[in-house]
Amino acid sequence: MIKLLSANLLRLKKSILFWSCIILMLLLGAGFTLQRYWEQVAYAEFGQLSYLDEVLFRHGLLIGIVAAVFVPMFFGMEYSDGAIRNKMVVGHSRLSIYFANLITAVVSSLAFCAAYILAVLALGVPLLNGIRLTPPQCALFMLGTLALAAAFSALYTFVAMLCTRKAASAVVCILGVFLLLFAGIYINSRLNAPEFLREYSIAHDGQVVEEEPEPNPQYVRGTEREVYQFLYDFLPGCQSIQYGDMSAENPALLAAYSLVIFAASTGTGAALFRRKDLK
Amino acid sequence: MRNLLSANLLRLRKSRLFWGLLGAMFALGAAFTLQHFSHWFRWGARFYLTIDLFTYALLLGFGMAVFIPLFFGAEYSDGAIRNKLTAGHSRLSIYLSHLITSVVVALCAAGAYVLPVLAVGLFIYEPPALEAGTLALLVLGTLVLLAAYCALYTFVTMNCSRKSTAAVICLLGMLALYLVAGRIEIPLMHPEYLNWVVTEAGEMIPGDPNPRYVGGMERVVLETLQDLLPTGQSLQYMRADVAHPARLPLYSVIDVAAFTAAGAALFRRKDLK
Repeated sequence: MIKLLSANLLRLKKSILFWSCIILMLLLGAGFTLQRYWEQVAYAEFGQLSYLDEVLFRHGLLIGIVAAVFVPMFFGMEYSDGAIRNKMVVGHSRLSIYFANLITAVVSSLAFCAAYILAVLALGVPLLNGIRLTPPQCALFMLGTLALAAAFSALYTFVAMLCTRKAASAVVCILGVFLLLFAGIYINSRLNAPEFLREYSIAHDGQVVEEEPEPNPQYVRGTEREVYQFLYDFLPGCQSIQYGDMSAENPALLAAYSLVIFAASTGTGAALFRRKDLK
Repeated sequence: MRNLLSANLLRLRKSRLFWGLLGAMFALGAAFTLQHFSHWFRWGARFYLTIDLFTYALLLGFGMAVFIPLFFGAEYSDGAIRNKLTAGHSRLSIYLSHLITSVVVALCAAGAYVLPVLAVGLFIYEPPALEAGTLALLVLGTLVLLAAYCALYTFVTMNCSRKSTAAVICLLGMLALYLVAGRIEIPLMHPEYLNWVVTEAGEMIPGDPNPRYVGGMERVVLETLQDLLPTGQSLQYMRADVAHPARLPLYSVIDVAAFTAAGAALFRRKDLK
């Protein structure tokens, strides 16, 4: 497997797609940081302050989309070029091919995250205010986002290794991450609906009067709320939303869920790939 | 060109991708309507028909970004484009036949979406709070907008010989345009005043000015950009809150003409190997 891995990493080093993704993440990191800085400058008179941690973990939101493009395009080529058959002909097992590709996908995703963090730190440390999180919280957030990157990589490797058509696997991965992100936005809005609705009216004397609060029919209660909360913590797209707006309350639990997704998708993917007809 | 068109339409009839798109749009139309139906049934909530009616203008931005590269991109990998040229068809007629076919697909998919919305919605929704002329303009505008999306994706697909690359460019391009439109909307949404004050005479007068409000030339530029971008139009149609309903179809026609002229010119010079 070491030979397979070194071949993959060598291919990675020469891949235009890989370096394009690295540059994109550098640009996005720099862009988000400068945007926060400009907002701080533009609204300084209103006491607007921007902090480094507002943008530092946003790679958790971006990595799902970038890896959805990179993984199927990079590994899908192995089917169209016949490289997978060649690897088997020279004696590598299907399992080692799958794991070598998975490790390469995880390494490249972590490299994309590192590029983003590097750009944020390079510009954010001199331009923005410091980090408000404690060091253990910071470490947990970092661990959570990197575990999420690994979970996304495992999911996309699953699709790319089981779908022989590169275009189809790219579309499945990209549409899949869009769906997961939209699910995250939807569940977020359901969970954040207020329990009571307050209404105000203007009396004849011009005074604003607060009416009796009424229960909000959109508010999710009981078991339904627990199910929504579980999905919001478990689904990778929902985790991305939580890291994107820094609302994750329990990053250790999110990291544990990411590892469950990683293990489940790898176990299923490797088992199905062993039985796949490679023609 | 008629032969090319009928060949495309025949291929379409047998395409699983085409029927999958129609099925997905029908299912989405039904799902959105049923969600509002459950709110109406459980809490007696009332909605205007326009709440779901024009959502296809955004959904098909994504739907056609998948369909066009996968359906027409196969012509590069199968060598069908070269066969068509060998049979004596001009590059322009090949390009235009693809564009027309994709517009037909988009219209069919929009029909598949609208069908369940109207079937259930006419009974449970309030009639739209719009004049008939404005409503007709919105319908026309969304249909021309679909043609603008088709022209954009046909431009990419016909000038990119790799199917997977074309699919990724179209999907990521759509996402990028959607984010740009959303970003442009934020400053436009800020109200001009932070509050309103009631005078002793009972009149409402503007209070403190909002520092985030964008006015003057900057507002005109942002509004024009928002109207020119297909995704900016989609967001406006989705809310059925369109400031310039007569202007948007014209901008879509400009989009169609610009993408088609640029795409056809590049395709004429493209090396098809």
